Amino acid sequence: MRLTLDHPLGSQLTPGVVIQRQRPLWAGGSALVTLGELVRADQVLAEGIDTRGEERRLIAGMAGRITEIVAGDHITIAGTATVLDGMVGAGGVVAGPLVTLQRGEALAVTPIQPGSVVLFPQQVPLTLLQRAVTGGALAIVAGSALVRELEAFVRMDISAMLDGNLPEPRGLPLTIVLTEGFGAMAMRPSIAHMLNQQVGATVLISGRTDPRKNIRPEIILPAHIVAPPRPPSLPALKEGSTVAIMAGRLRGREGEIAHLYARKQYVSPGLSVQCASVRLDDGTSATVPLHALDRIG
Amino acid sequence: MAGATQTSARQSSGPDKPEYSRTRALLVADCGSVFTKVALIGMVEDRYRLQACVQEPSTITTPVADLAVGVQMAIEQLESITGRTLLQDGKLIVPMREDGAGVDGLALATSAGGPLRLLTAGPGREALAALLHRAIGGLFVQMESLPEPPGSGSPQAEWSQLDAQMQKLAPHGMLLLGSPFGRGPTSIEETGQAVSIWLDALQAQSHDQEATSASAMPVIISASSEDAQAVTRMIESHGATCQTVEPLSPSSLLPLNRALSTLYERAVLQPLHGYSSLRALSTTVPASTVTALGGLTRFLAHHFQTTLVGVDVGASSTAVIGATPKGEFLPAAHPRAGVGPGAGSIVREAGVRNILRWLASEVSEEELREYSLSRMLRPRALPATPRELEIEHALAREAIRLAMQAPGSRLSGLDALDVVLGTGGVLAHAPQPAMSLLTMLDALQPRGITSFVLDPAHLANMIGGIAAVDQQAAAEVAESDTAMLQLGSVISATGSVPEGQTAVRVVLEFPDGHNHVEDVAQGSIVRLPLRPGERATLGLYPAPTIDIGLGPGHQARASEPVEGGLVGLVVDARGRPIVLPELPAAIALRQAQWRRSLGLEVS
Repeated sequence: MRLTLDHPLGSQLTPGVVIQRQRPLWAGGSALVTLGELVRADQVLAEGIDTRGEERRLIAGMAGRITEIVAGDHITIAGTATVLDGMVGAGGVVAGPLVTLQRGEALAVTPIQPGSVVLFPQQVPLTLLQRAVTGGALAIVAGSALVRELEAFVRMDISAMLDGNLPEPRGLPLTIVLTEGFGAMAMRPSIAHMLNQQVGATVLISGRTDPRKNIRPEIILPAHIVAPPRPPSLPALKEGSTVAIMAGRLRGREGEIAHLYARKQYVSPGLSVQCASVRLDDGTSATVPLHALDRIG
Repeated sequence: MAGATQTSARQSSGPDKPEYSRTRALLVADCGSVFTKVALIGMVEDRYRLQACVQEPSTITTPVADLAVGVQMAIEQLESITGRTLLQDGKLIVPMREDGAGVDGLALATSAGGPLRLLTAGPGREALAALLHRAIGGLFVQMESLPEPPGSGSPQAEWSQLDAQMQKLAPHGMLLLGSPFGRGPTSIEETGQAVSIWLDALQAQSHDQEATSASAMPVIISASSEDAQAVTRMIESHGATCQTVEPLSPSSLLPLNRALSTLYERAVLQPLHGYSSLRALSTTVPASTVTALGGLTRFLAHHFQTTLVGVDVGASSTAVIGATPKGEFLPAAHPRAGVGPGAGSIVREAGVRNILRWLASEVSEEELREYSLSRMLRPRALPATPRELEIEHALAREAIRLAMQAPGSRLSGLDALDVVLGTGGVLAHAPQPAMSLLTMLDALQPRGITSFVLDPAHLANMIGGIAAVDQQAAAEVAESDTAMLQLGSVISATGSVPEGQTAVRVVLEFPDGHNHVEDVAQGSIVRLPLRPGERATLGLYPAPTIDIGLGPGHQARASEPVEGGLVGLVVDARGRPIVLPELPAAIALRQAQWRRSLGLEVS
């Protein structure tokens, strides 16, 4: 048995976990809930006029119990939820209903539901990011994006942002979470399928990413999702583990570990590394380095 | 590991001296930001040898967030490889027992917590910069200048921006340098005022973040006692804990070095979960990997009476540390440039064009940036294609160059390099030794004759740790062939003749009487067959304008035979600095030619 502690630390999806999250209160925001109250994910926690003189409402984003109310600062909710980690993201914490786009519409003019979290399980183009903003969406969850397009959108050097050299983009009009990373990659089928099943549910989403501290963007979903059992806290790769391949020519494929090699194997590009034989979803097998595997079940 | 399991046999020097007075077996651990390497060193036929070395992921971040877990995982793997018992109930057995279980100690080097982030200020900051860099030489420190606080009339946006930058930097401490010239244009009082403003701002931030606001900011003051007292009075009430050290001068570098070493352990290492249990087992004070490499470089330079440069390209940081037999110590490090989480720093600071020039195939800026970001996001991933491997080594070249150009670096003064020792994952994992050699050669561009050595087991930093415990053990492990691989010698010819004409004729005379003669053309690099264990007498006959380290046109015939290496004997007539064509396609073509000359495949 070998340990893999690579992101997402063995599992991108953690169902049924007890978490606590703070929702920000603004000066002038009045709490509509009381300490100890049980709230729904779509429940309004606070409302009032913000500093720009606009009416604002704070949605819970996750179901749970109110454990703290600090006037003008934040409200804390604790509850059981399913957490989906992204690979990289940008933007603050927002909550809204998860929606998909209408089929057949050009992305530049596709209708967007204001206040929603758009699910787009492909590589997201700049056009759609811009359309999502003009349409009033709060966030977008996508498979991947091109570096230059994401930088054009956030107007920041992404590497400096990930390094922590630059303050996180403030006032970014859209929170972005990419589940697979940069380049042209669709969302993994199992993740896309699971998210599609949650369309209509209110989700809480954060784009904050700090790889040096292993802080990843996250999507907090209802707790009742039927998903593979949660891997152990130290996710081990062993025979029978369901894995996703994250690098190389089989990137994006999923399969099951058929055999863990006791000795290092030579793999492209000539490196000698620890490997597993993975039985892929199409029935074929491949020798894959452990560092390219994420355990997903 | 909660601690060590003590057994009856203990080392001592008294009359009850036990049977074993020397280290019999030692564990050495190098906890990097991405991987933790642990090696078992033991006696084999009265000589210290590397017995096994393993690598596991570092467990510094969530969900484990305990440095000791990664070390324990590695020790368990060592147990399974060697069949030797090292742990009992999860605890390291120290000292070694009569039955051979356990070890006599643990030496630890780490870069897991990152560098000591230090803000510098004071009227002596510019004037004493050179001395300051010498004083912090060999320490893992990231220095930034304390910005001037905006004036009272400055817009709020300016404050917010500076405040956010400071918050991102999250300094561990401040260093105030008094003026070496008495009262100058900037007084220590002005520094005190600026520091007080920032201390208040940082305190406010820690309240905002619900951090331990009680923890005061350590401020080290290197100034005259009068200045130190004045500034201490000003800043102590703003949440600073002040420590005064002697003013910097060429003869008083050590007090500041010691103060910063102590601060590094207190502010960077001690807060790491699991550090205290590892510290309890460690035979010596754990050092940063940069410090450990510095220790090894100095030790080897002295032990072998040679001028040596140690090159460590890590995931998050890169160090290039030189030492001479005369005791000169020339450290240089870039605390944020590496081929993992530090890849973004390389791209930003070196520039895309400078990285792409090292590739033998045309790669777009988008592809390079995508790869470097992927390495930041998945630091444990290794290159999956020959193209990615090539990008990785291009990043490594620029990381080395950035470290050499770091503020205070004096490595450019080292003209004649006898030995270059390469360590770190990117060099050690290279599928072909020539790839590591070429990476170091391109980055360092030495002159004259240089021997290249590779540390395939990532032992260099660890041997630095061993040297602090047992110098003989360190020397014997460093000398052993399993620890250090002899890549080969490189003859670097400088000066120029027209492109394509012979720059230097090389004659290798083998003991069996046969000769190998090679005319090396200007602009080329060639590999001559001289395998490990083979010896030949070397004759070098440069063109009148070409210098092989003895002056232009000076010929050389070695009195002692040279020894071969895994790559062979390399003659580099590409000039110094290496000149590359302008167009990307022509660069790629030239790089491909050079790679093929060294027997490397081109993707």
